[in-house]
Amino acid sequence: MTAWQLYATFSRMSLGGFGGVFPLVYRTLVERMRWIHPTDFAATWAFGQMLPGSVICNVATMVGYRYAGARGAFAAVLGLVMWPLIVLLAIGTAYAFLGDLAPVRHALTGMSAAAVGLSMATAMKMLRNLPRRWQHFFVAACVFIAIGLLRLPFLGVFAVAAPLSVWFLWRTR
Amino acid sequence: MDAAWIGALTGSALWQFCAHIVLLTGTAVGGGMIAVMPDVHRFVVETNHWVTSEQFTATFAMAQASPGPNFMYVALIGWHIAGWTGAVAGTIAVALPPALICYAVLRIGSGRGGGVVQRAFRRGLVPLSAGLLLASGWVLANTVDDNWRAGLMTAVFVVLLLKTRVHPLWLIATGATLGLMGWV
Repeated sequence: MTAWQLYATFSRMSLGGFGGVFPLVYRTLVERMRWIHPTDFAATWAFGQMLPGSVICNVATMVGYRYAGARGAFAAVLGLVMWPLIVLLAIGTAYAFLGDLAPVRHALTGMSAAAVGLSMATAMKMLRNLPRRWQHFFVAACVFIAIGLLRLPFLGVFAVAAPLSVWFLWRTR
Repeated sequence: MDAAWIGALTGSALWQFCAHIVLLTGTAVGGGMIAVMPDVHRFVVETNHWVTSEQFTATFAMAQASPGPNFMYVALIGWHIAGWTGAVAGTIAVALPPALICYAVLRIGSGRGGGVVQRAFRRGLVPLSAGLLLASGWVLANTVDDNWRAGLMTAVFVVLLLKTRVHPLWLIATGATLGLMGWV
């Protein structure tokens, strides 16, 4: 596996991944190319979630590093972000010219309403998978109120809510 | 805690923005960069007025509808602040520091440290992430759902996403079509 192959594969996956790259990454790396065993992939994914930053970015770093060292890690991450960035720049430029037109604004409002639904549905799915304990819903509600309604800075809220959240799960596990 | 001091040292909006993003990536455990979106909104729209709330929401929707990782909305916000340079700088700010941390962890070697503690930590942050995502929806909804039809559309989409296995992209396309037809 060369760094170039990693770059090409991750480029293809990120360009094909509409609404998140995760399903495509699994299908490509595990099922089609067979670079990674399913159990290995689950472990890689879990580890990527524990580290800060985007999970998919961490997975790219880990996979790239494993097959082609530092060069591979760089190639995979570059492939992941470079082409989507170019597409977004084209979209941004079009928006700058057309964004004031009424049909474009209406279409964007409709798309935004869908994006709102997407965020909310993801949150509810996460809550659904938790053990049914009032503590978890309490933490989620407090974070929602602090960030969504009171608009407090995230870093401060995180400093209070993260230890509390982990402690609750630790006690009720 | 706003990384404003870093920006104050350098004086430019783009540096302040990137510093804030780097700080946020450091805390984005579990929920990813979508979960910290309300804080990006607070910093960019409410505190610094670099981007209007409408622009922010439209940007977020466009990034969701285009290919690539969903943290790329950060690049498009960077583009609003400082054009092409801003987009590239935003992408580097959101992708490079976590990749370097991940690389460092791999180099040093992992596997030590109790699995139970790690699991409690990772799963323990799920309620936090869920609360953040709800807040994301709320912040966006405040800009978008100012009429009952947009609100109804959001509600229907939430139900569809929870009850069926429909691909999110279809819903975004449906939203665009309904918007184009002047329904929202």
